[in-house]
This record gives sequence, C-alpha cells and structure tokens, in this order.
Amino acid sequence: MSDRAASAAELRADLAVDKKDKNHKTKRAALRKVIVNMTINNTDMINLFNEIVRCMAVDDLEIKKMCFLYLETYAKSRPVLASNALDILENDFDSSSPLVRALALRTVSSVPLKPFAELTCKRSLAMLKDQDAYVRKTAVFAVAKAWSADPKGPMSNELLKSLNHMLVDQNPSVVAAAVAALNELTSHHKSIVLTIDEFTVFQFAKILPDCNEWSQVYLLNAIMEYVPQSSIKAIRLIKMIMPRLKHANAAVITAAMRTLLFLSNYAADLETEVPRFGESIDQAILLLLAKPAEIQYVMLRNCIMLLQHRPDLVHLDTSPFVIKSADPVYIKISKIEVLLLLSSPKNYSDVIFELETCIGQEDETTSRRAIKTIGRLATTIPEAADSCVRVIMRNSMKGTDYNAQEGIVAMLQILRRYPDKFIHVVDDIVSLKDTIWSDVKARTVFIWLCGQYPSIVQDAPAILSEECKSAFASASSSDLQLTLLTAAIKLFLAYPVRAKMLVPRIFEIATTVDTSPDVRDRAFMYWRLLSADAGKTRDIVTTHLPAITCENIVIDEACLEELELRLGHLSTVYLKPAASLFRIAKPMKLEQSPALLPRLKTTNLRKNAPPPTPTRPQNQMSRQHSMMFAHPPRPSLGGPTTSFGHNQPMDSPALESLNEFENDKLIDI
Amino acid sequence: MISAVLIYGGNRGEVLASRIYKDGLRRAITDAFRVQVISNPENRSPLLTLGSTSFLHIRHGDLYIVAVTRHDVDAMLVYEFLYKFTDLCVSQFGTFDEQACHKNVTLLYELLDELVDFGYPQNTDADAVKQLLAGTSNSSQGSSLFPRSLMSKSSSSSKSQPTAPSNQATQQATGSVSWRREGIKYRRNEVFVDIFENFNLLTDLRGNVISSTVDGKIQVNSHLSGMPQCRIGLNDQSGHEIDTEYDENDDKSSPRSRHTVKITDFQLHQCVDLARFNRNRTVLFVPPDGEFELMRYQVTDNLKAPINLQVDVDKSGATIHYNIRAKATFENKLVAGDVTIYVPVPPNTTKVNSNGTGKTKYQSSDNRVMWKIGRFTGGTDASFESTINYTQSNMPWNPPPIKAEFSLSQYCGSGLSVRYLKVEDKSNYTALKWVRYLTRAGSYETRI
Repeated sequence: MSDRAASAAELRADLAVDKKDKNHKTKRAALRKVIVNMTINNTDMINLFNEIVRCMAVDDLEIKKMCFLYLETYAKSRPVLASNALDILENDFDSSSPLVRALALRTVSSVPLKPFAELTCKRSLAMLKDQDAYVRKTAVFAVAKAWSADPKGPMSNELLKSLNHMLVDQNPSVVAAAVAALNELTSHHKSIVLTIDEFTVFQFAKILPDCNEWSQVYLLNAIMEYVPQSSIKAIRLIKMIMPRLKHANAAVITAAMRTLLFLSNYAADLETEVPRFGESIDQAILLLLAKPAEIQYVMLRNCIMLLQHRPDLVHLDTSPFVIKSADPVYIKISKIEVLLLLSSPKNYSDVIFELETCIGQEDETTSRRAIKTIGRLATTIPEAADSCVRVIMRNSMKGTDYNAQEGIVAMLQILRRYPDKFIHVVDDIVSLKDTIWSDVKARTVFIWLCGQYPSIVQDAPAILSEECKSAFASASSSDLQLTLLTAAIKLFLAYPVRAKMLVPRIFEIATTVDTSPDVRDRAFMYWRLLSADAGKTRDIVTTHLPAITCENIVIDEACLEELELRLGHLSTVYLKPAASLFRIAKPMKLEQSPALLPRLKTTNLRKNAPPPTPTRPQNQMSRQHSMMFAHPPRPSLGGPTTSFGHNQPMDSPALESLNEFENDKLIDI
Repeated sequence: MISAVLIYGGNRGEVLASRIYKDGLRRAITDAFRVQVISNPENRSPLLTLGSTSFLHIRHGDLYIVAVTRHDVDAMLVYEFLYKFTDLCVSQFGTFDEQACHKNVTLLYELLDELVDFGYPQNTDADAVKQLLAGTSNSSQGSSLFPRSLMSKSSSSSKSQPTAPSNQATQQATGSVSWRREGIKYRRNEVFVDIFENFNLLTDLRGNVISSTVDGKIQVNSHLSGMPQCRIGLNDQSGHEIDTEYDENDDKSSPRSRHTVKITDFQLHQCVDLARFNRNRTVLFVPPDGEFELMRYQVTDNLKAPINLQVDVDKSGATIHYNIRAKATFENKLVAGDVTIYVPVPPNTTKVNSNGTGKTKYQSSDNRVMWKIGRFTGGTDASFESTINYTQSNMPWNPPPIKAEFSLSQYCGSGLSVRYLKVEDKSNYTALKWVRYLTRAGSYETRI
C-alpha cells in the first residue's frame, strides 16, 4: 500500500494552487490522490478539510464530486469545518442542470450532521416538486434519509406525508423510489406501518412494465404490503405479475416469485384460474439455478424451504441438482440437502448414486456430508436402507480415514433405526477400528458397539480397558466417558467373566478421577445397582432397544411461512427467522383476510414435527432426571429430539440429535 | 438495503474502493472482511454474517466485490446487483482488475454514487449510466479528459454519438425506455444476431447420458437509427403459429430450419415486451444501441451430443489403461475447432505413455493428460490410448470426470434457429441483418 500513500502536507500545496493551474490539472491529480488515500484509510487526509472545501467552489463537476465524496467521508470528524461547505451546496440547488441539483441534494442528505439534515428538510420537500423526474427521485431518497436521521423530529410527520404523496407521481421510477423508501422506513421502525390500498396496488401492477429492473423489484415488494380481500383480486394481480418471471434480472424473478407465492395464499382455485401457475414457478426456479454460483446458492437454500412448505406447488425432479465436479463446496452441500428432501421410495437409487459421486472427491466437507446424508436417507426411506448400507460400507472399507469415520457414525443411526436388520455389517465395522480411532465421534460409536454387540466384537474387553486409560486421562468428551461406562456394564452383564477386571477398574477411575459430575453419578449408580441386584441391573440396562423414528430436517410452520414471505432474503439462506439473526427485523406473517386460504397440511412423508429445538439436551441434569424417573423406557416415542438420548440415556452415545439443523455449519465452511 | 460496497484486490487484500451509503458504518469495516474472508482460507462461502452485519461477495478475477448490510436484505437482489455492477465496470474500463481500479478510481466512485442511492440500486443500464456520467462532464466547463475519454473506448457505436444534454440524460434514466436515447442516427443500418450456446453434458463410460442441457443466449449488436421496433421469430415449439409472411427470408443458412425446439426457460432483456411475450411468445423489442444480451434460454429435451466419448478404463494394480473413442456426430460439412479432451491421472503418477489422433501431453501440475484433437470434422472418429503407471498410496484414487472442450460454429446444439427478424421504424429504412451460430462445450464431462 505504501506506494500510493501520501501525506496531507505533500498534497496541500497542489490543492491550493490557483492561477497557474490550467484546467485544474494539478488540483485534479491531487484530489485523486486524496481519494486514493481516503480509500486506504489514511487518516492524515482529514487535515486537508479547509483546502477541500475551497476546491468545492471550482466550477468543475469532476472536482466537485471528489470533494463531495471527501465531505461525506470526513464530515463527522470535522463538523465545524464541514458546515463551511453548506453555502456552496446551497448555490447548487438552484442550478439549471438537473444533474447538479440532484448531486447537491444527494450529498447534503448523506452527510450525517445536524445542519446538513436541516438543510435537507428545508430543500428536499420543495424538490419533490421539481419538474425533472431524476431530481424528484433523488429528493424522495433525501426525504427518507432526513426522516431516518431523526424519526421523532418536528418535521417527521410532514416528511412521511410528502413521501406518501409521491406514490401517485406520474413518473413510474419516482413511484418506485417512493415505495422503496417507505418500505425501508417501515421495515426498520416499529412505530410506522405501510399499508397500500387496492387502487394503488393495481396501479403499481399496471406501471410495472414501464420501469427499469430495480424499480420493478421495489414495486413488487410494495404489492406485498396489500392484503387481498377477495380471491378475484388476488388472481387478477397474479395474472398481471406472471410475465415478470421471464425477466433476465434474477432480482426481478425472485421478487415476482415472492409476490406470486404470497398472493397464492389468497387465491382460491388457483389451478383452474391460472392453469400454468405451478409450472411457471418451477421454471423460474430452474432459471435461477442456471445463474452464477452465488445466485444459485440463494435459490438452493430457498428450495429447501419451498420443498417443505409448498409440496403442493413446487414440483422438481432431481436433475437440476446433479452435483458437478466444478461446483463450489457451498453449492455441493446445498444440493446434497435438496436431494435428500427430494428423495422418495421411487427415486432413491438416483439420489444415492449422486451422493456417492461426492464421496472421495478431494474435499473432506463434501465427502463427509454425502455419507451423513446417505445415512439419513437410509433412516427415512426403509426401501433405501439396504442400498445405503452397501454404499456406506463400501466407501468406509476402501476409502480414506474420514470416510470411514463418518460412515460408522452414520451406521449408528441405521443400526438404531433397524435394530436387527444390519447386524451382519458389525463385523466389517469392527475391522475398521484402526482407521477410525483418531476421531472422537467415531470412537464413541465404536465403544457403543462393544457394549451393544459383545458377542460380535471379539476383543471388546481389551478395547474397553485400553480406552479406559485414555478416556479419563485428560479433558476428554463426557459423551465418550458415559458411553464407555455403559458399554462396560453391558459387556459385564453379557459376559461376567470376561469383564470381571474391567468393571471395578472403570468404577474406580470414574468415581475418583476428576470427571464431570454426570459421569461420576452414573458410575456410582451402576456400582450400587450391581452390588444390590445384578439381575435387576440387567433388566434395566439391557432392555430391548426401541427403533428410533427419523425425519428429514423440519422447519416449523410459522417459520416456513415467514421465510416464504422473505424468499431470497438472507434469512432464507440461513433458514431461520429474521428476528433471530438481525437486531432490527419485524416478524412477518400472512395477514388475515376473508380470502386467506387455510393451509393444507403437507401430505408427504414428513409428519407434524415439533419446532426445531436446540440440537442436544443442554442441561445434563435434566437428562439424569429423566433417566431416574422414566424407567422403564416407554415403548412409544415422541418427536425426533426425544427419541434419542432421553428415553435411553444409558444406551447409545448422544452424538447429535436427528433433526440437527446444520445451517450454522454451512456458514462457516 | 445495501449499507456499503467495498472492492478489494485479491493478492494483498488492498481496498480499492469503499463507498459507505448509510447505517453509520465505520471505515474500519473494511478490515473485518479482509481478516475474516480474504485471508481466511477456511471461508469458502459467498456470505458471512458477523453479529448483525453481513458481507455478501462475488469474485471477478482477483477482485472481491463486496456488499455490506445490517439487515435481512434481499440477497438475490444484492448478488444480482454486484454482477451488474461488475459488468458495467468491465464495459467502462475495458478490463476490471486491480490496475483498472487504480487508474479509474474517481470514475469508480462516480459509478458507485450514481448506481445506488440510500442503499437501493437505481440504474445499471450501461447506456443510461453512460449518459448520466457524460452529462455531468459535459455541463461542467472546460473539463476534462476525464469521463469522455473513457467513454469513447467503451462502445463501438459511440463515435458518432452526440453527448446528451443533462436533462436528456435524466429523462432517459427515469423514462420507460431507459436503455435507449432519442435521435440515434446511422448511415448504414445493421443488426447482428449471435446465438451462443453452451452444451452441458454428463455421461457415463459407455456414453449414456446422465444429464444434458443447453444454455443459450442471443446476443444482439444493433446499429439502428431512430426508435426501431424489432421482432424476432424463432423455431420455438410452444411459440404461436408462425406468421408465414415473415418466413420467407433471412435465414437460408440456419442449421435445421424446419425443426422446432422446446425451450423450457426464457429470460428476456428488459427491452422485451414481457406481456406480449407471455400472450403469444412474440419477442418484440426496442433495442438498446450497440451490444446487448436479448435473451437467455435453456433447452433440455431432444438434445444430441455433438461429440460422443466412449471410454474403456482398465485399472489393475498400479497401472491404468485408457482407451477412448471420440465421435463427431454433427454434419460432415462442419468442423469443430479447438477440440481438447482432458483425461485425469492420479496425483502420484510416475509414467505416462499416450498416443492419440492429434497431440497428447501429460500435464503433471493438473494431474491430467491433454488430448488435443484440434480440428474435428463432422462424421469422423478419433481415438486415444494411454497407459499410466503410478505409485499406490493408502488413499485410493477417486478419479474426477473426463472433460472435453470444443467450439463449433454455424451449429446450434439445441437446434434453435432464427426464422425472421423484422425491423420497423418511423423513417422506414431497411436494415441489414446478420445471424451467426456458435456452440461450445460448457461442462462436458464423462464420469469414470
């Protein structure tokens, strides 16, 4: 950076040069250096304020623009000097050139200082009536800036009112600017709401074709502020907006899709009234999936939402989600997620095939995710289980370490889901011991297997006592310790002789070494149980495992509804309610109206599931409680979170809950 | 909406421009992105949210073009804007890279100022923006080398162009035909239509198609006077009955003229009358002056791969043996150019022995063998053989797909053709019309 840095002292003389400077060549060059240094955060530039203000008076627009940029940047650091610029700016307001008038207003309204805000208030209202549409458009935003600078100021009502008047301007671009400004203000301030009446909304829909692409987006957004009172009105709007889905601009397509989906909630008999509605939405999705990667990414995340929320409307097959080797990782992972949602008893083999192509490619994240997803596919579609297990085991056996590690973790879920079906692969898993041992998650599963299938894992006692040495050594995972403890007891109950040495040793370590209270308590409990009545202990510890139920990732209805209204927004990429991500976000929902249709419950394999709860039980104590009091385990299970861990606290390693919500991980890849 | 736009050079992460629009962002915000994204190899996502502040970025060459926001913004709009902004910079500067940013730093800021107000994108139409910027430099006195010199190289058609007075510029920017100004005159009225297609194909070893799509675009270069209305007719299956009155001329050279094609997806430039298109698929438009992309489309049905690969792979021990046959399935009179096929080899390859039609070369840094057929005449075959020795490691080799590249002119992968192109203007001139077709390999892969 040093090659471009300059000091204020060097530039001062050049900025002040007067007579000899033909065409302001020297000044221009010096100003350019100032801008460059400003860009690289050279704070020394602040010392040039006086010189810059003097340059503003030069009658040259390029010089003016550079000075204005400087003013906007440093005004806050030198408020007194900045106000010297006011006179010069005031002059420009009366220029005959609309571009100069607009530039002056844009600059004044962007300086975050009180005298500037006051001048903005004073002049912008008048300029809303300028004969030039470009100036009016600039004035609309200036008014909005003035309002948000001081929402409770004396002028605030008048400012809002004058913005409202602009909604009927004869120039569509000015109308679009006014709705954009109002939308911005209302979405960030709880005290005001934007409501748009029926006449205006149809007016907006009518002028859509007459404005540029960005204005179309702002008008479409405004249409969503209107709540259709009858199905006929909603359908009329839908028909007017449908052509926008063919626009070349991804933002227009998305805004149109968002508005159409919103309106469809108020349109009865949509299929007969607008025959190609669903098909048009599908096509628009495909269009966006053929755009540059970042846009694809936003659409893919939205597909996850739409496939869950609108299975009635959105019909996609797997072909647009074929994973290409050139796809960036974030696209691959989102495609994997969508493929899982699209999987069905009919197409699971295609899906597995696609997922398998991701395994063993150079990228570890993708590979792991693919294996994990195949595991999940096995648990959600029973028909697919056999093929899934084959693929997982094949890749674990031949593959790299992390494939085997992820594979064994996936196998845990499958073994729990189909308790007796896949016992034959346990042998193969055991042979992978050395490959997976470095990974804690995988090791935990392995130890669970030792307890669960003591007859198959031949050297279980040796493995467990070996692990005993290291597991309690340092700050190891308490999941691993708990699993180890339970596995040792189960082994002892099955083969008392073989585990004779192991159990006392593990009790001793777990109750004396500095471990977590949960581990110590559980060790004591087993200890006392065993010493009281070994038979009872067997009843408690080795009851038959109920099969777990598994569901695809599920987002709750209210959240889905809000995400649909925000289609394409950041919150839909994260698939979380906006209010949980951003400080200033008004919650959104479908407003009541006589035309609002009751939402059909989704009819695919997903059941009504509880809202996503935090991924693992946070409070270890409560787990212990349920263990103490929920005996014997109830045969029927609740939602997916409770199916794992709570009812069988002593049994399987609590690796992660099944509806684990993985967007956070996606963000930090 | 958008709180700031930042531009960084890729190598050192130097800030090349930073324009803060609102929300009181501090200038130090530029450091956060540099630390968290540019110098953090772990970050591979185009979106990063820290606290309530989100950074959305795209790449252009070495550059990072970043939008910063504090709210739940329309991410689609932001990315689309960043792309449009990049396109605009490319058209204004010739190339958009670190050097161009240094050279045009003031113009860059002018653009950022003109394109966005209050964080809302306003206008990204090359022509309208050009007028706005040119308008300012015109009305200022005695100025300057500045925008005008840059303007003139940016567009081929602007030589004869009078610089618009500033209120005409503002009218264009806010008018309903923001992409075209009044009073354009050409001595020779011509319009060039280019149909570019990317053929994407994924097949298995035996050449069975797993997925195939054609992504096409119609690029128009219009040198037309006045405010002409143009109408273009395609052999699109779902189009309305073709008006026979236009069907007689213009496209004798078109590849498969009686054929119709099923186009699934259309995206049309904003100059196209969308309501009219939706009614009967008529593509009616008042073109911008100079070059623009009239439409993009996708075809997925009835595609015939222009080049077929049949692959035999034999892996035994530490040796891989490839036997590949390529077949040009298109008409005999056409010749594909730059036909190159990339065959993957394991990273720890010790010896490669290849032989094929044209040239072959082992490219060790990319772990592949390049098989360059070069010119490939329709209806002919080419073959390739290679034996690869490598040292086995405990990481088994999972080969990436075989990739092919080619370009084929006067050929349309989708079979699309222009049936007619009609230009009507008040002054009733006749325009010369030119149509070209070019198909290239997009992602053209064979899984092995």
